[in-house]
Amino acid sequence: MREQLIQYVNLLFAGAQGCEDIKQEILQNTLDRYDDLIAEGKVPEAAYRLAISGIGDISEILGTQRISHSVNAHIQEPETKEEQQKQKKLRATAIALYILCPIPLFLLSELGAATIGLCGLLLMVAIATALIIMSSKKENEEEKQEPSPMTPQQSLRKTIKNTINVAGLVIYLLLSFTTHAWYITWLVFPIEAAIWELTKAILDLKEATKHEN
Amino acid sequence: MSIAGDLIRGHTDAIILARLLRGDSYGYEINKTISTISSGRFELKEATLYTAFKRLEESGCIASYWGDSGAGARRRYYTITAAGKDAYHRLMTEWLETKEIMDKLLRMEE
Repeated sequence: MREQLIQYVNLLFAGAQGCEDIKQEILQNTLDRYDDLIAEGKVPEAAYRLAISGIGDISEILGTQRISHSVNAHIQEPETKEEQQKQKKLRATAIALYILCPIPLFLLSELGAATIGLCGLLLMVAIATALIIMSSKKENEEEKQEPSPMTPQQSLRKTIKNTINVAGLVIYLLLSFTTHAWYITWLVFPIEAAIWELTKAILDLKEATKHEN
Repeated sequence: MSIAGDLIRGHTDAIILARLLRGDSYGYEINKTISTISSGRFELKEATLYTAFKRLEESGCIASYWGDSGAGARRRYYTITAAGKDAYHRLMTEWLETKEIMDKLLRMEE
C-alpha cells in the first residue's frame, strides 16, 4: 500500500512541470501520515484512503499557471468580440450590396447605358462576395488558433456548412445564367443563410436532448 | 467537521507563523501539532498547507531549507524570518481585535 501511495502522488503531479520540490515535500508528508496511521493500528487500506484524503485539492498548487491562462483568456475575450462585430459588419455590408446591386442597372438602363449599369451591378456583387470571403477567412483563422481537436459534432457541422455554401453558390450561378434574372437571384444567399441557421438550431436541439439523456 | 473549518482556514498564515515561532518545522509536523492542539477537530489539507507555505515564502515571512529526517528521507524545513515575526504580531493583534468584536456582536446582553 505504501508503494501505491507513492505511485498515487507521482500520478497526481504527472505533467506538472517545475513542481518536483513540492511533489517531494507532499510525498514525504503523505508517507509520514500513512506511517503514523499504520502505527495507530489502522489497516493499510484505511490508512491509504485517509492519507490520500489528507492531500486535498492539488489544483490550488498547480493552479498558478492555469490561473494566468484564464486571465489571458479574459483579456482576449473583448478582442474576439470585436472581431465578431467586425465580421458581422462585413457580412451586413455584403448583403446590403447584394440587395442594392440592381440599382445601377435600373438607373442606367433608363438613360440607355445598360452595359455600364450591368458593369456596376457586377462590380457591386464582386465587392459583396469579397467582403463575405474576408469575414469567413477571419473565422477560419480563429478556428486555427483553437488547439483542441474538433469533436465529431463540430466536424459534421463544418461539413454541412461547407456543403450548403457550395450548393448555394452553384444554385445562384445556375439560376442567374439560365434565367438572366440577376436582379432577384441574389435571394439565394439570404435563403442559404436561413437554411444554415435552421440546420444549426436543429443540431443544437439534438445535442441538447442527447446531453440530457 | 462540525466546527467552523472555513473560519479557521482563513487564519492559516497566522497559525503557521505561530508554530514556526516555536522552532523550525516541516509540513506534516506542523499539521500534526494543529490536529493535536485542536483535539483532532481541525486539520489542514496538504494542498492548503503548501499554498500557505508558498505564499509566506514569497512574501518573505518564512524561509525553507532541505534537511534529512531520521529515516533518510529528505524533508523541507521552514523557519520564520524577522519579517515573519512582525507579520505574526500584526496578525495576532488583528485576531484579538476580531475576537473582541465577535464576542460583543454575538453576546446576548448589551
